[in-house]
Amino acid sequence: MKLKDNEDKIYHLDEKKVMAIAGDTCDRERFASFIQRNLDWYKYKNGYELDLDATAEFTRSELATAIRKGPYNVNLLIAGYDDKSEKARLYWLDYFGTLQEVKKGAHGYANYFTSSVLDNHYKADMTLEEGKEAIKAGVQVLQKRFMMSQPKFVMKIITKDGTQVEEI
Amino acid sequence: SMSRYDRAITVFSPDGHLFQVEYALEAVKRGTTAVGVRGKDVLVLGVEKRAAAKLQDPRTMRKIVKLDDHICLAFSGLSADARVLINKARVECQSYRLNVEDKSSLEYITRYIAGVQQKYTQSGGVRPFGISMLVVGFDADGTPNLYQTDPAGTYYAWKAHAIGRNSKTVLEFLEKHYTDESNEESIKLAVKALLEVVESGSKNIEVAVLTRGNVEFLDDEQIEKYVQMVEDEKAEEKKEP
Repeated sequence: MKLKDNEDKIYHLDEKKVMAIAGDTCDRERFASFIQRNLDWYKYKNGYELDLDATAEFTRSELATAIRKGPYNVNLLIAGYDDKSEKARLYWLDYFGTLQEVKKGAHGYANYFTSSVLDNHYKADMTLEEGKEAIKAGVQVLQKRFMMSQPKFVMKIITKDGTQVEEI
Repeated sequence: SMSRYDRAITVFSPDGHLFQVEYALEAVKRGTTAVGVRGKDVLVLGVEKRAAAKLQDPRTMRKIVKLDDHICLAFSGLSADARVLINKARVECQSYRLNVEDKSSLEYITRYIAGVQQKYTQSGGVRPFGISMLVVGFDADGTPNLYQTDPAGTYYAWKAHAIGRNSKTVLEFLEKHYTDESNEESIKLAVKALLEVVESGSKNIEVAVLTRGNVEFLDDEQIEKYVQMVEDEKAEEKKEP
């Protein structure tokens, strides 16, 4: 039974920051909106965007506060390009408020299938093309081994020039 | 303790005046001039820039601020008070978006700001904000808006308006020469009106131009271009018998 094939779970936080969220739909939508609105408020109040590592920490902090009050049942990956340090970074967060900067990551069932594949593809200073190939290899293994049929994947690429959206 | 906040600062006078509000309006009248013009497809804000003191860092202190993607404002009066009101409004803009999934209309946010200003005329232990604001922006349906708020908490929509020092002179000029013929004419009108009371020169004024989907703060060069146009027009007018 097919529900939807065009639900985009990668939310844009700023021009060069995205947040991929997996979990209960209501929490996912509400938490994403909440973080987006807080980042926009920061931008208008201070005249500049919150930087990437502060964004990850802020997100983590909200999750950590919520877990013992009213948890958001969501796991996230935050990805972005930090203009100041001229570096691209990836962060792995979960609903407890765990935060870890990582080179590659996944959440949910995808983690079981792709972690080894991404591990094999990863090397230091990968190019954009090599990165795309790694993602595609991960998608391929899911489409081969995972019991759920997922024919369409959305891919978002962030560089110093901004965010691009592609379909796999 | 509670008793310390018992005395309301804003109370009625025997003849029905709220003197604190009227005094706040005086503070606004001392503030630097701000002008707003609503065109068919454009909104223009212009403010007088006070010259920086000699030893002061000439970093641009923008007097025209953005509340949200589609809303800008200029103010006259106590800039510290303005900072507080502006930040409250910025929170409200995002709060509205979070709850309603849409950007707020200009009327909504103006009503909110005016509501805050009114609250401070009817609360214990506080004084009114010494601020009048000109709020501009396009609604989701494309309608351009120019609103004004004042320390009493009232708000009005305007086609063009001026607040602050010498605002009467500027308003008279606007009433005489208002046009929404074209974007260029609207921008020129705002600059010309402001230059009636501000010393000529791009370094003395700040201008923001809003079109649907875009907010532009004019740089010195662009402002100088309009100043020059206005000067030329004035010279031409003088020549005519």
